[in-house]
Amino acid sequence: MKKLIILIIICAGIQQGLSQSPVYPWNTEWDAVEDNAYIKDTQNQLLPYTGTWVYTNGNKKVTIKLQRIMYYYTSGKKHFMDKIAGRYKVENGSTVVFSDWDLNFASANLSGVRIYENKLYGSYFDAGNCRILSDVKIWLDPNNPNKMYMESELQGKMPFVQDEDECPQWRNPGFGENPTIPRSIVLYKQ
Amino acid sequence: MKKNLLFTLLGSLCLFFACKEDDLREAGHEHGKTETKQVTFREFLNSEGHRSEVQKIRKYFHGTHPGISNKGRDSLNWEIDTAGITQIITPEVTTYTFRVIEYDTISGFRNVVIREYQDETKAFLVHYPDGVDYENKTEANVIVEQLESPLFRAAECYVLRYQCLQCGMTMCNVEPGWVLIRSTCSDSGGGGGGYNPDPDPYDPGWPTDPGNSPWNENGGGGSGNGSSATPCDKLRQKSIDQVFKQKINFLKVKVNEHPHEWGWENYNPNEMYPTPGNGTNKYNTSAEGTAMTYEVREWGQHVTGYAHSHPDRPEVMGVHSTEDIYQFAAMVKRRYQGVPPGGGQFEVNSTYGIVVGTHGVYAIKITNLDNFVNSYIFSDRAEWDKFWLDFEENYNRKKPVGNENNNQKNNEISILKTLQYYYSTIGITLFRASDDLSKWDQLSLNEAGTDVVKTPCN
Repeated sequence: MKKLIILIIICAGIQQGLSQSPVYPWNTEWDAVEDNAYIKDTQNQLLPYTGTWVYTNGNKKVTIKLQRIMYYYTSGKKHFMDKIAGRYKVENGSTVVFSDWDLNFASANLSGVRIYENKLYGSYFDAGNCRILSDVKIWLDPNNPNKMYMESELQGKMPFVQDEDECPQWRNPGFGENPTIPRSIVLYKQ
Repeated sequence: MKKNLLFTLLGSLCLFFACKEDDLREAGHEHGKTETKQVTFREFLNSEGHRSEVQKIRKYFHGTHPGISNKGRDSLNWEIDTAGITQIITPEVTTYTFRVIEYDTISGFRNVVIREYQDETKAFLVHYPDGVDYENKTEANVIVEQLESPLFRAAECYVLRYQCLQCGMTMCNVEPGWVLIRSTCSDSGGGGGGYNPDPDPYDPGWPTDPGNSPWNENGGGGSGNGSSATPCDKLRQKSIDQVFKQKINFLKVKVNEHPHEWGWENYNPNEMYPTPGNGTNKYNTSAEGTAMTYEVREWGQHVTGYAHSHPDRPEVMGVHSTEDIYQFAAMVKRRYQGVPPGGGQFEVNSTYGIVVGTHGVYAIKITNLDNFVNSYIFSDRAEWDKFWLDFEENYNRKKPVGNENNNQKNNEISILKTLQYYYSTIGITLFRASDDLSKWDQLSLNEAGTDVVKTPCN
């Protein structure tokens, strides 16, 4: 029992250390907080989206792993926030078409940063297509928390690479029209 | 001799009325001796500042410059833009063509041309009342008036025509170009018919659209890529560029008419890398996107602006997206890092990114180049990736979602907050045009961030 109390005290101490930043609820705007503030998912709104989700269509299989990233450090005004970050693997039969599965989540190209009317809004930089950018909308089936819908819409076809010459194919007709993750999919939790 | 003067002054081909064999040889000969280049205001002053005619018109020059100062805006409704001066040198004649900054709305646009001919210097105000359609190359009226003339001289009229300058048996031997043909002035002030085949010594050189971006400005020893004209000045110049206005109005129609984006780019072919083309201030034809994004068709250091529509759909904001802002930043970066034909640096103040949406016509422009250069261009790869990831996420959290929230004020506040948040990194500011495109306002937020403040450019 004593050990348990000591452990709780230690954990509380660690948490206290992490929480020295002023904490704001998750819907707080970034520019409404001071430097070093922490915009926290205080109501655990993000947790239902986390986990490993799979979409299949014939031979095509998309596996997406969504995690809640805590204390994500933002550039600009320098503060921290919680967000959803995703890594994914796309397979065609036994061939892996794309995978960033093993990379760290902090710099993930799939993210969710806002919830409005039970839908998670975020963005998708398609690393398999020169990081072209799409808006993403994710929502859970109200009758089945293990079923998730994901839709994306392309913002534009400019490659988000530091030098567009790294991606000469962006000028080709049809570039960007076949995203690595299909535009509208239904996924099931594993 | 007069024909010869016209050939040489315009730096090109034979006239419509002069396509005779003798003249062909003459034109071809002179064509090879013509040199056209961009000079800075400092270079102009070093070369011509001592001339009494230049001293006489100093009150018209925009801004304050070493050794020369303007009279101020209080007493003038126009000034000479000291950025992007075109110099044309032939064996007989040297001309300098300047853009004009207008402080009142005028029809078309005006240039000032300073001409040296047979040791005599004269300055002319050259008005293109209908603008110049560089794209379709239709004829345009030109009115020429001598500045600070010791004798009263009435304005004289010309017609500007794009035509073969050196005619072969069945086709042009060289690429066509603009020529001026003397005409009679109609009551309305524009040129009419009755072309006089005799060119006049007041031929005003190449028309230089004020919305055009210069190709080789060094800024007179200043910041290099900047120019004396402010972003507001540059937008005002666009307000009197008839071709630009037509093309924006076309996109305005598409906003409500079509579910896809339409768009175009504005570019200077003579800045192309590696092979410069002919002409400046060109627009490609407005094109429909294949999906919700318009197709970028012209890209490179010679591109100075883009515009596209955002269709009137509930989920589409009528202002720039992250992608649009990124495209603009990439364009500015290309210009900043590019090298013009002939060396030097590109001017970036004229670059713009325009979105035509349900709630208005918006332009983004660089208003702090130092921020952009120091923080954006030279950031390392990881920082750069993170910057755009964070930018998009930040903007995403500010965007109004839900049909009921997609309105002008909410959209403007969301983009203004985002641009303000990253101003120290990218130095970009938002502007909005009046409905008739004649005026621009710089937009900012009030102190509480709850309302939009308009600061007129005019």
